[in-house]
Amino acid sequence: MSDVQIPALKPYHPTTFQERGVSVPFTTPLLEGTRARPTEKQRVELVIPNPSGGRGVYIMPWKAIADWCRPTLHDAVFNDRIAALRNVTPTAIRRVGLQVAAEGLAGEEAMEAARIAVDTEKDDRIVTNYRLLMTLVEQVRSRFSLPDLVKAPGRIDVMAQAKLTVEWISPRLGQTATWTAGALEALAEVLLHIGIGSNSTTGRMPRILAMLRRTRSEISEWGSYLHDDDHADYIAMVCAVTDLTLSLAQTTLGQAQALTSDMVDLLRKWAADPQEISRLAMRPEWLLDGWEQICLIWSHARDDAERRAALAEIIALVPVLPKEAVEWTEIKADFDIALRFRRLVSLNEDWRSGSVVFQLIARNEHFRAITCRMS
Amino acid sequence: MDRIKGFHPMTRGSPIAQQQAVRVLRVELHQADDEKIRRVAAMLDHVSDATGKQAILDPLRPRLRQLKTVRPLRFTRLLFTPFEPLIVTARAWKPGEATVPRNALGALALLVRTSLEPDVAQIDATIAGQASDTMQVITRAGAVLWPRAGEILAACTAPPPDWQRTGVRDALFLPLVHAMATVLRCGPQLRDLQRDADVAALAANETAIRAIIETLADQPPEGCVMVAQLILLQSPAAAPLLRQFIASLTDTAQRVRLNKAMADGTERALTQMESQAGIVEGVGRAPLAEIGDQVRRITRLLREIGQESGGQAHRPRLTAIRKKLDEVCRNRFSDGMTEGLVNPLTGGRGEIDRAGQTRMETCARDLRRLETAVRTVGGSGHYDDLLHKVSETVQTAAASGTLTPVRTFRLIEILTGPEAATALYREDKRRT
Repeated sequence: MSDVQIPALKPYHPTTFQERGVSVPFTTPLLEGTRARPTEKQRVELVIPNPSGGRGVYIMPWKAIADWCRPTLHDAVFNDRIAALRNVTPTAIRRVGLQVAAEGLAGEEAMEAARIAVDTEKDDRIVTNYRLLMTLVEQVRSRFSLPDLVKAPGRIDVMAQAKLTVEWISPRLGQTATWTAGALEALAEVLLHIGIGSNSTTGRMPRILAMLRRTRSEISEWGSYLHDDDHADYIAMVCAVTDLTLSLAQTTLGQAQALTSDMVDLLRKWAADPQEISRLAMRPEWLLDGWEQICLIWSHARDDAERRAALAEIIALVPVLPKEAVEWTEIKADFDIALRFRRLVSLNEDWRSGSVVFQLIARNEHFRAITCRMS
Repeated sequence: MDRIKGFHPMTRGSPIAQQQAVRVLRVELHQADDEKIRRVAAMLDHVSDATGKQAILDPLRPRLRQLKTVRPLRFTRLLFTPFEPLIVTARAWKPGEATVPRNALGALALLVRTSLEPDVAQIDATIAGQASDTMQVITRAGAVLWPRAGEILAACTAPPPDWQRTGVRDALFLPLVHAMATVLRCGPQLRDLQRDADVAALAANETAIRAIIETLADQPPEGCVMVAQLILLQSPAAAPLLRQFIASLTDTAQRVRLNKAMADGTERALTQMESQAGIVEGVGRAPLAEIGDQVRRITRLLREIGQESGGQAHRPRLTAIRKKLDEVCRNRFSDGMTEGLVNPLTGGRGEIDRAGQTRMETCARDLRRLETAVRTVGGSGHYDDLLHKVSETVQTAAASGTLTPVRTFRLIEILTGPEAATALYREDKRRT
């Protein structure tokens, strides 16, 4: 870290998820926990957590960041790409992350994982589209009185039957069959990660939820072994925010997954206001944004010493929950808990600097590979 | 292994023939490469003849330590883990030097084991099938074993019946085991400090240091010196806080005693660094992946010793150690660079593949960790020159098609910094 004049810390009390920003998986140790958010001037600004783990954030231009902490090439390119984004969402940042990793800028392991993930996502989109179509066919067959030709199973192949169903239902939606097919494709894109139909426990969001549940349980179990008040406080904070996040994410995920329980209604709503459906489907991703890194930091720790270090790192990364989450779920809770417990942890003077930096960058690149594999 | 003649540990022959076979094997092993040493050690882990095994392994111990060979986690290894930097060969051991003779470990382990019955089964079950690098198992099983073993050794009043076989005189038994008992009583806290220092994320653990000082209250001086030496060698960042706590003790006699232990521990740590086994072998022959952390610890220790109140008196010795460390690191850096980067890049074996690139990136990181840690003791110009040269080799390899552009940027980034890599990346994007 150079002796660069850095701006004053700014307060950070986001009330909306947009204002909280989207977690950016930078590999530079000092940029860990950085979030990107849109400004009023339609630009993207970076919110960097206080490196000491205390309250407040830094907001500074990339040039100042580059002078302050020597960002990796991966991060410099990542920053270039997100500066050009029109919508800063977790999905958009994740896609940029996959592109940058697929170029090889986070190392060989992440490159391989990202390239596979890009191909897998294309396949998943096709599978999701197919699932939505088949769900529509099944629901239309069971809820409407269809002409024999449309409902005749076994006499024609599945796709032909699906085509007939779409042609039959589309006029009843006030749309053409082409519109319905296009809408199903667009919905596949929107609902890709929430896990629909028989995939409801294996989509990306359900997987992250399961990983967060596991991490919470491990942290709590580890805490029960320790007899240390400081750690007990931190563990209580992490577990409390995790529980709240799990509850909110599970609720919003359930709401998003329920959208497909009435496909005809979903298509009607999509026709009326596609943005509203997208927003609803994106909620779990906004809520879980930033937690994947926390789970990875925890799972990387092999013994008590590494877990103590992981906990200190996690404390500074626990995402602040904006009050907007109440509007989404009507769950009442203490949303300031993550902020109130954010306080100074005594860190080693060499941490994130000196010779340790190289190990941390390698670790963060390994995390990029795991994240790509989980995409 | 197949090329090591005379290695037949299970051979049933005359004792003379066996001794001759061991001698031949020792000579062969002395010249063996690292990989062969690892394989021999792994094979010997499954040999039950303790005496024969010791005869072969003893001369190899320094190299095994340097290679950080992963071994099965057995009761004896777990029990003496807290003493690791203090364990010396029978020949090197001198009473009163706050070290532990390796030839005594077997008898002491048996003594502790017998006294622990029947609870030893629980420890055996915990470590069964584990390796010497399973950190958490060592920490947790050690937390159970070490304090109890400390009490057992502290309660000893006479050597066990087979003690003479160790070669350590009976009269030296009690001072040795009572000093060792002190270390074992502090075992869990020493382990916490050591692992925290390895991870390098948190500041010194106050709770552990306070517990150690409390434990040392009525312990023999040699035991206190052992503890001080272990803290200095393994967790030097904790030393200032330890001194601070000692200085704040209201019991004057206790303060004087512990200050003396710290001074003696410092003296021993300096002597160890000055010895051949310290810097030259400990750092010079360690695997590249380990050296950065070792040098980081040593430079921190040298800084702490220099900054302590009596540090002025140590200045000439510190300067000599720094000079030796710088010299050893320069050679190790240069060798590591040639072996891990220059040779693969100039070997004419065609385009570097994924595995080759990963190996080179790992090597480049290890070199940078070493160079960043050692810059504080020597000049930086030497390393800058070498890094500049190797980055030129990288660019030459890129021009000849050995490296893809992205692999080139990655190596340049690690070797010379992200600014150079970002400039190359942007230039490449402009051209394409």
